[in-house]
Amino acid sequence: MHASNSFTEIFLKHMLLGLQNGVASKNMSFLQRKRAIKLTADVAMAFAKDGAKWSHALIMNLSKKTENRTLLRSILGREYERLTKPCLSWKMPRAKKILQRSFKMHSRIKKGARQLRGVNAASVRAGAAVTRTKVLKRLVPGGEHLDDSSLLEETLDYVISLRAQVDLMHLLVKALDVPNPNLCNKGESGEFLF
Amino acid sequence: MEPTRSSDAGSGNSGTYTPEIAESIRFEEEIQSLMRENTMHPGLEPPPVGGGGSSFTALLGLPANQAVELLHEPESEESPAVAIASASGGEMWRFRLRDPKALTLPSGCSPTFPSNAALVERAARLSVFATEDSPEAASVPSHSGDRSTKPKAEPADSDSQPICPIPGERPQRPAKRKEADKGNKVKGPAKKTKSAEEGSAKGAEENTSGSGEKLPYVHVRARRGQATDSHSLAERARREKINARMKLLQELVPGCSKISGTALVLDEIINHVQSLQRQVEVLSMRLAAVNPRIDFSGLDSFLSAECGRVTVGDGRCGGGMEQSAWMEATAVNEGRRQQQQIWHVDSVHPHPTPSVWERVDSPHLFINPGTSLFGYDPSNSVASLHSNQLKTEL
Repeated sequence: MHASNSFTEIFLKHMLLGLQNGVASKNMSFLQRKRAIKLTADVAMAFAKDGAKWSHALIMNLSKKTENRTLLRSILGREYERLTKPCLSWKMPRAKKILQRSFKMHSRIKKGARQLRGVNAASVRAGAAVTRTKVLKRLVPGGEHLDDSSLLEETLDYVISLRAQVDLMHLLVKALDVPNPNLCNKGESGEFLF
Repeated sequence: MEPTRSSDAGSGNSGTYTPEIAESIRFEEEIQSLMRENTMHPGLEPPPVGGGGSSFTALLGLPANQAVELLHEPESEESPAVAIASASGGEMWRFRLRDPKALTLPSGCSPTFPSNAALVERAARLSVFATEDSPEAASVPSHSGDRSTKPKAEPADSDSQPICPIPGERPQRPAKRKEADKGNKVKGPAKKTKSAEEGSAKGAEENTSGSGEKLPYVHVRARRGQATDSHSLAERARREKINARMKLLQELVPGCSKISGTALVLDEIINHVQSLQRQVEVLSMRLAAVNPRIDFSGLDSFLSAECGRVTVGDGRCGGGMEQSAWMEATAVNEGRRQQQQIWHVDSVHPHPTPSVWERVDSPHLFINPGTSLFGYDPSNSVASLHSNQLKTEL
């Protein structure tokens, strides 16, 4: 499964928009520039995929810092207001929270009863999965509040979008890089940069 | 086990059954022979079999749902057990079909029946009909809603043929079925069924996942050898959802399909996400270095225009755009030292594309919807064009 065409188009368009507004013809240091580029890339990616939870979370996280806001505003345009206000108690209705909490209590009770058996393979495996799930929650934007199955779904979406982002940025680099005649003679034309 | 299990929800009505005796009598004899072998349950020896057998005979001819009705009415130990076994054995056998070797009786019954291979075969054969007939089981829902510890021998599959007698081999089997009715809709072909057997820990997990369409309510039948309370059922449904998504992720992340085990797959996924994020960082750094030399305004409008055209365009179109991009870039070209530095960085950074550069294919679309590797074909085009451009320049 790979990113759809419209996704990449919107992505590219907004990225260029952001680059134009935020970066071009401004005197910034290298690191500032890099940060701005990354920001526009992320925002463009999140905006292009508006159906997913992580996109909303990403934009919200980014807008928390005040220095980003102007850039965000310029890229998102009208959508800025819509996207930056948190929806519905952070996307998890109260009922679901209660359910999750009770489920965790329930499993905790069960684990308490199970402790007498000591450490066995199944519990070790389950523990390993739990720690990794926690790591994954930190990686995926907005993943903290999700339960396992939706976390996996968001990860899937996120991986696809990340891949598209990497590819697109790579293309941009290739398209915009000025060729260095020292590097490119007949022998090296096959191995362009490396 | 049978005594405990035979206490079912007593919501039966007394026979509205239409016995189909011919088949049932044949089975009855087999049953009786088997029952005689049975040492576990003296209650099922011939005399009660006579009494129980007649009802059993009647039950055998029943469509499964009506058998269930009968089951609950007589609260005696044998006949409910028998009848439950009969009604549900057909269901059970459906799962056994795939794994005839894993035929294990529940713990209580083990001495009794496993040796009877002939009946096993027959049951397997008959269970084929059971699976085919499952759509007809629509009319069951009299026990809907009662999902608690009481196992309802819920005949979701339609053994409307005189196939119920299959479980003749296993009158003792605590084959209880329970349908996790999350609603009252019973639609045949779209049911996802697992069959539950309470208490026994045999791990044979057959799953007749016949889920075709999506229903508002998912009927799940617990698998054999699993507990049947609502918590575990919900957990199991949840786990299956998670496993399905995990499979998708495995396909997506390269190199993950060989790995088995949740934790390792999660490891790989995490590594992949982290590496992608790092790549974004590096690429943004490169773009930052490239940036000052590029006049973005012109490029931006040009690329956007091309993006609109690209979807309907062909390879040449994308190639043309690339060439124009080169033109623009070279127009504002300035010093090159920085790029050398960048390229040095790149050589350190493991990048998947180097191998791609070897191939100089015909130019592809800049954004090609068909290609699976989004960046790679256009990268090819870029490389080829680039080399062409350079040759012309030089």
